[in-house]
Amino acid sequence: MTRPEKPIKTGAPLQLPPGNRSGVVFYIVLSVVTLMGIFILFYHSFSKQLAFSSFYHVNREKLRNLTEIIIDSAFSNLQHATRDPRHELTKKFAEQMRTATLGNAPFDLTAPLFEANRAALLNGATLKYSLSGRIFDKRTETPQSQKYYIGEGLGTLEILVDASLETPSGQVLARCQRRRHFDFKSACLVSNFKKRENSYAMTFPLDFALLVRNGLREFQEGYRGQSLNCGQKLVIQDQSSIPAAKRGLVYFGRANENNEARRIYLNTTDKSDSSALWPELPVEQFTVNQEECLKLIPELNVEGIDQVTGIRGVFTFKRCPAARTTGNPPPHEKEARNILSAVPGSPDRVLEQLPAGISFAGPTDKNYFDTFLRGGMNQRWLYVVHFALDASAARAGGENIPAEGKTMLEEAANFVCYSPEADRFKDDQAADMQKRRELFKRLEKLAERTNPPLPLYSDMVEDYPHYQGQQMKKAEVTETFKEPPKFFGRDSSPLSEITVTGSEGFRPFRHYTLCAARYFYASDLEKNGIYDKKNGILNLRGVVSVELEHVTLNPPTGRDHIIVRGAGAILAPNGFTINCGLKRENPERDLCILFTRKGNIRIGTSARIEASLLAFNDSNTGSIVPSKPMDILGAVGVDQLFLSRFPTTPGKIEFDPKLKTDSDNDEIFTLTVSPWVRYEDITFSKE
Amino acid sequence: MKKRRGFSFIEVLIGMVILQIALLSFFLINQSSSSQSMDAYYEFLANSLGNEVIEFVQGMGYEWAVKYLDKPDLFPLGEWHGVLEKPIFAATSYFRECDSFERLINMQKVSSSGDGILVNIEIRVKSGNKVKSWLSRGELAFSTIVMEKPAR
Repeated sequence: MTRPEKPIKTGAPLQLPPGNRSGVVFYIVLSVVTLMGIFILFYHSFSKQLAFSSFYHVNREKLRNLTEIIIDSAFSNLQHATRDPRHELTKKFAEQMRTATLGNAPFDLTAPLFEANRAALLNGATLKYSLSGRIFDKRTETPQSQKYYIGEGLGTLEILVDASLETPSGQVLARCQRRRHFDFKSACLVSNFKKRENSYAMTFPLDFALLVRNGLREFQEGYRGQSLNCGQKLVIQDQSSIPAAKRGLVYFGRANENNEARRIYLNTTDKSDSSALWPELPVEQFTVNQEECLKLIPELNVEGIDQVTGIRGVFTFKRCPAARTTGNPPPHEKEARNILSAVPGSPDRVLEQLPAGISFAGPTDKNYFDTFLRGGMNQRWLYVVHFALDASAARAGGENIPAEGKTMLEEAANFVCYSPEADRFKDDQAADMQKRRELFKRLEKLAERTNPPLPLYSDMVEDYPHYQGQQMKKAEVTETFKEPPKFFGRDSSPLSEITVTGSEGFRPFRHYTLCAARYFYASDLEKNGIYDKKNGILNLRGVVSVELEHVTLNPPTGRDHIIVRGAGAILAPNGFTINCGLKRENPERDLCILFTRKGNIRIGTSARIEASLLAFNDSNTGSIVPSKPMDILGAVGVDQLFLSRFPTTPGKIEFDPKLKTDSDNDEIFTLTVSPWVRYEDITFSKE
Repeated sequence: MKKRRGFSFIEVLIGMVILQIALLSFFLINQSSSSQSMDAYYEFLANSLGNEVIEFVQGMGYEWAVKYLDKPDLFPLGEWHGVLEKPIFAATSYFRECDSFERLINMQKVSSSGDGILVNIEIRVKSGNKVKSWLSRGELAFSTIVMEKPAR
């Protein structure tokens, strides 16, 4: 029997609907492979992206670091360069501060420290960059809307770097632009004096080799100018080698040559080193006839005098130093000096004529002095008029007079001439003195008869270099002299007097908002690196105000001076004590100004101080107090000199021509750039 | 006679071959991806450790750096040291993997229109550490200059 054929069981597929299953495995495998491939490619893509991101991040981080070094280096270079007021960068700042526009064109900066270490920093990479700076914001008015001097003000500096990091083949790895802002202050230390006709600049005392703000009062306080004529104490050094416009002025405040009551004088002396303003000393003569002689000296009218002819009177005019310090002067000169120095009301008391406390080295011609002397600074000298009867040609009745007779006549009429109003004769009632006074009254009549009228009295003449003294004419000066210097208040309004005090008065170096630092204790000068006491260095930049203490500068170990580095001013209202010299490290670059607004400047050294010393205050008592002969290179400005307190060995002031200029190009600005970053951003561009 | 339905041995064999080839490729790609990922990760880590020194020294400033030259107490100068053996900050603030790295830091004074301290940093994986197999670059170098910012 045949069993029926059973269908072969082939598993589940056999349960599938009928159809051709050939090649299904291929599709299944393909699907699986595709799915896995997609996942794998996603993963691969992510990991590639991760690697790329890491690479991208590393390069950007590297570029960020490099641009930071570039900007730091540029800033450091800028700080060093602008320490020198003559550096192109400093001038560029001043120039851009002067312009009316708010923003300014970029200027190139360099990053020398970065460049010097470029290879070490790049580690084989290539960096291309451009670096520039510009002033994009400036404030040229005070908070009270008062204009600063042109070029002064506050501003913001932008340092901008565009950099790209590349492979040696030139492929850009990262590229960015980075900017950083710094605030700065620009303060003028030396300004063009020609621009100050109508404006205020806080630096004007630096135009003066010597400015004595209250000079006229100081002079008038001393009897017969004794305060400024108390023996030689101060020499203003020769300025003839300096161009006329750059010479340091000498001005005694409120003195005015056009106002006779406001003139001051300095005694001339016989010392060769104080011969400044000393006129030529011609001896001139004036002769009067016998008739005038007899009118002048009635005692000659003896019997038989009408038979005498050939007598004449000779007036001899001599200009002598007001004060003698050496030698034995001729008797007439000695007598004249004594008579004319009598103290009014005390005819026996003589106030000795002392040499001027200030003298001027160098040329002695008026043209030279006109270039720097301002106000009513005159020289006092002794004008001696001597009368002598000349009987050498005298004859009586046609015969020669015997020699004894001539001698007798000549001795009877030989005297120094004075005004009858001279204190010595006016106050002394002794018969002898009154007799002489009568003689001088007759002399007065004789003087009136001369044509032109001649000054026949010996006198202390106080008006040289006015011409009448030189020309022996006592007529009133009619010439109009140069007006004294002008001074301005804080708001540019002219001051009526240099002695005006208060906030709207005389206010040099009132750089309130332009101060690099304020409210310092003296010790802060050290903390802030301004005064390196140990190494004896003054690092100056801008105007620094030490408002709370007296500042003392002492010599460092092994040196007699402190080195001045940079240009700037230290204001110390409570004053300074300078116990050592100050020497500029680079005379072309460095400039030091020490200013006290309340105290004095005490000088305890005779070493040279290459700094300008200014002491002005609202009490008009600011002064320099040297305990040793001082030697200053710079400008000196005080309220009063108090020369009598100076050492007897003369001190010296040599004017630094750098302090005075008639050109914008030679103005000195000091730039204080804040090391703090005001704003910063960095923008990476798509590579 | 009924036609047989199903997969032939040949079919399965071919499918397996194709699958094997694909899997091998995927494996190779995956290995490369993993390697790239790990390389990127460790490079990033090494980069952070290098920049850490740069940021720290820049933050501390020039004056500090000058003093540090004389008295290097936080991390040694001129010698390789494990990052977590001489950490700049607390050791717990670092990833655990940082322990695989060592650092060489050199500092020297430089000057050119301003003074600065040149800081060179090199980072590498410690010898015998498995990370060495991941990091493609043997050493990473970083440099910066911390510059004096003269206020005067």
